[in-house]
Amino acid sequence: MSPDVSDEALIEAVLEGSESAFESLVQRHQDRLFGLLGRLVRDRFAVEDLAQEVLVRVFRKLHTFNRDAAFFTWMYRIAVNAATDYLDRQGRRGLRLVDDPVVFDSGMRDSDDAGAAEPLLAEELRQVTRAIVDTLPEKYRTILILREYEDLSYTDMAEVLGCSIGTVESRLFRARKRFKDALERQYPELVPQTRGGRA
Amino acid sequence: MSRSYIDSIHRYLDGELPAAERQAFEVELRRDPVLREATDAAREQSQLLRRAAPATSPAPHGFRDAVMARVRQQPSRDDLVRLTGEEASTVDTVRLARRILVAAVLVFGLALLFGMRFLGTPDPESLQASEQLRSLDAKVKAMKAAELRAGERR
Repeated sequence: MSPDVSDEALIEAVLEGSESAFESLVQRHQDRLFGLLGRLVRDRFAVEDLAQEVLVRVFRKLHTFNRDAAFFTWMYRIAVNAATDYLDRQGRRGLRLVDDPVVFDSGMRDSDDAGAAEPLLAEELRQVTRAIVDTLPEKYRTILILREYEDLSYTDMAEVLGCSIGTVESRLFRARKRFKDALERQYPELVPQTRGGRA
Repeated sequence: MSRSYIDSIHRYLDGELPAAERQAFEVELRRDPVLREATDAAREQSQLLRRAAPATSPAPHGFRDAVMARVRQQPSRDDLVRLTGEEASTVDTVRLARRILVAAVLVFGLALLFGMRFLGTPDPESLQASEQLRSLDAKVKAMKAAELRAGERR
């Protein structure tokens, strides 16, 4: 199917019984879905299983999709719920998430990375940051991932999380504060300073 | 630093301020060094998080085929629509049952509370009265027993 065909047209075709239309939807969104689940769950076997589960669920519930929202935010909502359930089942709070080296490239990614000359320091910094994010309560960890890793707007986050923009703002505020407080407690030298106190 | 002050900084950095507010914020940013520093610190924190984002791999080869194989096993769309209706009705029934249960627990709790209030602690006057009744009763019984013994002797 042509890449010019919109998600809406593909969804319409799927609901009329077209299998190839759903295949096109999967092809179009699978990498993004893998990215999100990978950042939430960080285990390649679990990510693959969950991604399949999410897409089957998407197929089964497609007739309930409200066309006012973007398809990807609806799919993200299903994915976030599936990942949260999975992490609950695994009792993630008692475990520490470990990056799977096969799935996750831990090499340098940003050309402006301050660690370009000191890759080890930059890598340590990444690990420290991830470790702190992983200790946050699930709702704060999820919102930071959606905003800082997935770069979603407040409106998209509200749709994914099924809440108001006001709730997104206040949850994001608390998540950032908790992250900063934890960083300040554990690695005060890494906290960005301001002259009038800490930001 | 107040919550709304920090909120404005993040909404600015997240690209969520409307054009007019954004312009006003930028004017303030040029004028106020404290705001400038706080904005820089918030930007740095955001970059710290972004740099830590694990880079993920795309879906593996054969993933789409695996999904489609599972999709082919699904019921027809008409059946899926019907199932959704049934699930919704089950959810409604469960929700109704839960509400009834909560109401019943509340009624029982209230009844227990009122019952304890009326039956739990008798007032001192009624305690004294029942004490007198008990002693009167004992006296009557003793008199009857004495009469019975006297009758037997006769």
